[in-house]
Amino acid sequence: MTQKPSATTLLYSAIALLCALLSSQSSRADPDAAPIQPPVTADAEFVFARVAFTTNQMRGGRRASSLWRTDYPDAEHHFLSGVRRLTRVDADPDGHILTLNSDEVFDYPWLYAVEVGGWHLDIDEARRLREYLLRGGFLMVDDFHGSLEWAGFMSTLSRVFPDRPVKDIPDSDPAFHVFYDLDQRTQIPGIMPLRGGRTWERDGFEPHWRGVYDDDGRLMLAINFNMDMGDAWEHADWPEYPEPLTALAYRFGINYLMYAMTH
Amino acid sequence: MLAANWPIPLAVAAALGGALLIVVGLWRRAHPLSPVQRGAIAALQVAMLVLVVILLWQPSLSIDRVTPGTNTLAILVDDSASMGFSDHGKRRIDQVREWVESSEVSGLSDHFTIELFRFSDDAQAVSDLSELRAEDDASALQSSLQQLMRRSASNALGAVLVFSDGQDTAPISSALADLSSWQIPVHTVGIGREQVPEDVGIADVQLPPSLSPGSQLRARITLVHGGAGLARVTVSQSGQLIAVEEVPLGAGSRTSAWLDLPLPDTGYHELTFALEPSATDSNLANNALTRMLEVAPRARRVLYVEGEPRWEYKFLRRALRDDPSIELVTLLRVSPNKYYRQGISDAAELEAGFPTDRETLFQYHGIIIGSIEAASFTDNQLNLISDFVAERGGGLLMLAGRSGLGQGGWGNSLLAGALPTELPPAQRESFARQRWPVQRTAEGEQSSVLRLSNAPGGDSTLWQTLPELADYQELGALKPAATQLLSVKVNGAAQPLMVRQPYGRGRTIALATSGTWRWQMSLPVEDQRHETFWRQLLRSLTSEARDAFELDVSTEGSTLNLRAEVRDASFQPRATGTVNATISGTTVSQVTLSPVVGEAGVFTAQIPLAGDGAHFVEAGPGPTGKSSDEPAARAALFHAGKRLERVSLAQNRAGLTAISNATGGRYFMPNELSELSQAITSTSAGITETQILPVWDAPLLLLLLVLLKTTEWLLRRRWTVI
Repeated sequence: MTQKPSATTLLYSAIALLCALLSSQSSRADPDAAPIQPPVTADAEFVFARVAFTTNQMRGGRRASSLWRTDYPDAEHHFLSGVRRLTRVDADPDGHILTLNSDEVFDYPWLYAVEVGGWHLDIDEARRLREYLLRGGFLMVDDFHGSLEWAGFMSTLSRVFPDRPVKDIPDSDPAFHVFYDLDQRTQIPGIMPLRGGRTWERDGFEPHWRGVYDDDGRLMLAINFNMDMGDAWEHADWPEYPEPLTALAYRFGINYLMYAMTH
Repeated sequence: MLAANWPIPLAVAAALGGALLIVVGLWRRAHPLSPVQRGAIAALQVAMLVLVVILLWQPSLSIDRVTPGTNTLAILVDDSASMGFSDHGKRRIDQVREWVESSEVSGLSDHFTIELFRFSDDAQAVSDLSELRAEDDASALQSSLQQLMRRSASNALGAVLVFSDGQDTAPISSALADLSSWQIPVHTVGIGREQVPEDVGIADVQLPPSLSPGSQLRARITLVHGGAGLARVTVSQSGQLIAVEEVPLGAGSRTSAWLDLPLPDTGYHELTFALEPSATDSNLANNALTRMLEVAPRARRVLYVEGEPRWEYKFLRRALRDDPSIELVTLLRVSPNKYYRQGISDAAELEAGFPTDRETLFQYHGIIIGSIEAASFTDNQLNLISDFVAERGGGLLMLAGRSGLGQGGWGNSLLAGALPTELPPAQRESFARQRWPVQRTAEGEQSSVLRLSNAPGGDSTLWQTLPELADYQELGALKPAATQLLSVKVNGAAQPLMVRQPYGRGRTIALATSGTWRWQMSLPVEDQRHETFWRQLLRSLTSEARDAFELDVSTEGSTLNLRAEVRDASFQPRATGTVNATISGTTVSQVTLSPVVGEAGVFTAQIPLAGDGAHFVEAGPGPTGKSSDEPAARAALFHAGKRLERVSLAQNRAGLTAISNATGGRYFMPNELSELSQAITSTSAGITETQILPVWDAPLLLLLLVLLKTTEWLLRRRWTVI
């Protein structure tokens, strides 16, 4: 005859289960902390610097702490291969990861940040980013979609530039003509919506190329909203990702880079 | 000159032969004297023998002397205002009258026909000393002497005797060589104290004639004084005080110092530099000096060729963005077959790439070559760049890079001779992305190009706190004419970072880094050090570049000298056409400049000045000197001719001595006038006669002979051999 477990046993079992669950959570490596590399003096003129940031966005009931790693490392590896093949830029093939809470950022005049719909910068990081851009730095942000993520992005950007407007980048802007003439305004989707037969995510139906300019009319911050260039770079070698979209994403990326190195 | 009846070698042979016989004779036979005693006897006998040989040789002196009554002695007296100054209670000119009338000088009339001259602007004959006034505002000593020398072609000028304090308001660089060539001795008598310690004055102030807005203004002031002390200098602009500086005076008689001044607004400005006089200052006329300064935007076009996109390119462009004096035109190779142009004036500029002809390239005032191989340029283009620097006076700046400087093969290119260092070979990896702090050399600390601040002591701090550079490239050994302004400490050893040298009319600079962008990115956005560095560097780079029409103005005495150089589009001298100028200000005149024979494209004119004050000159090719909009060139100067005479009251003994030494004469102090006659009459100039003065019959020589023999006899008696 099977004996019913006692209350004490049930209690101990519940505690053990809870402990197991908690330890399984903590044993998962914190991606926000692990892959930040120490400052290095790269033996190349251009280093693709990806910004790691904290987030307040929740996904599946949990804080999506690794948003900034989206498409890493294939996106930059593929993109940099294109830069090295198509231009005279002396580009480091590997890229670098850094945060905005260190002055290391000033040694990388070009930055890339992804999934910025969920980025959260504290006062110090916002101040540093503002100083970075005004000194001559350039930031390209990418892969955030819909009105909710726009609100999240702007909530943080307003800490960086409380009084600078976000504008649509006009077709005539040198950023769209410095290397390639970019007259196509084609929405570059992520691979997941493509598999679903669409190019948009959430309510981000229309792509927008927007930016923030300094007092001299230089584009400091290039905002790629409702598109996913990182995915196009990442999946450059996937047959199911359309080559024309990858090519277009390369062109935009190279133009942004070339613009940052000439303006 | 020594002379004799028979040759010197024969006399020497006779003396040596006799001495040998004496020595052998004393040593060969047995002798009661010791060797020391025999040596003494031998010495006395040899001395007697030598003396006898000399007497038999009959030496005499041959001296050239002026033939009395056949030569002229020109006495030239300084009659300028400085001779009216009093030393020890007596005017210098009055002292000169007394000395000229003294027996030492007037007695020269036994040998010479004396002609009396006075000089200030030039030499003029005078009948007597009463015509001397000491009122003129010029002392053209050297040119007056040249004038006298030219007169000697028509009369036998035996010598010139000058009474002067030696100050020359119009010195001529080639005067000494010219005076020496006449072979007429000029004897000088120095008048006045060599030091006038109570007088402190401004000798000169050097200012650039023109600056662009935003430039650093530095003036070089030179003070004359009598010893160590402290001078307080004030600088005023249109009567308004703009700076006060205290200048420490060294132990010598001249001290120079730099003054950093605020730059005025656009336009012409009179800057007056004044010394606060001390209670004992006896000469206030040299306590102030005015100079003209033009502040005008003068855009210089700089062509920057870059072989690869890089951060230095971007931040260099940003640094010059707000500088109206530099127009940066860039040609960037973005891919193996694509170039990106920025700053161009129209769509056609640089459409075909780097210029291939003089007309196109010489439109620029400076060239920057970045990380691009020398092999990317044709031989024609490299030669053009060389001519651009050497002939056009343009500036060339070479930047570091993985395809720049040595690694770009520039050390073995047609342009290698123009570069300031011996670059390492292309095979050697001289470029490295390693961070090093930068520091100024001693020359760099004195250079206005590297000034980041006018605050006292602030400059050093600003340089010391600059962030490290992003990279460095070896430059190799400096060439002899090169100057190093910046260095980096690589593994503890100082290495050249910025080196420049003159090349023809222009200059070349090598900057061994492409990493100054870290100064911009690592410093607050308000910090302007990166911008200041690049603006001043490029202004300096292009400062020597001449325009197709160049105008130089200067004064000599009371004459305004204009000199224009006209070139065509390929910068070849343009010998045809006319050049006209309009002068305004204190002197008003219109003049056509005359072409200079032997100098194609050069036109000159001399205009008498109406007086002291500001003068403005506008000139250009054509009938009126002005185009419909702007003249081809403008210049301004402040003439203060009367001031020159009073800059220094101290006797310029060095100048007087130099004239005497160059001409075979002698410098005298007034208390040495008794030696005048001997010095002046012993000359080979003019009509001379040779006098022979025998020296062999001097009684002293006979007395010496007797003394030697007597000494030998006494010694022999003492040593009981006789």
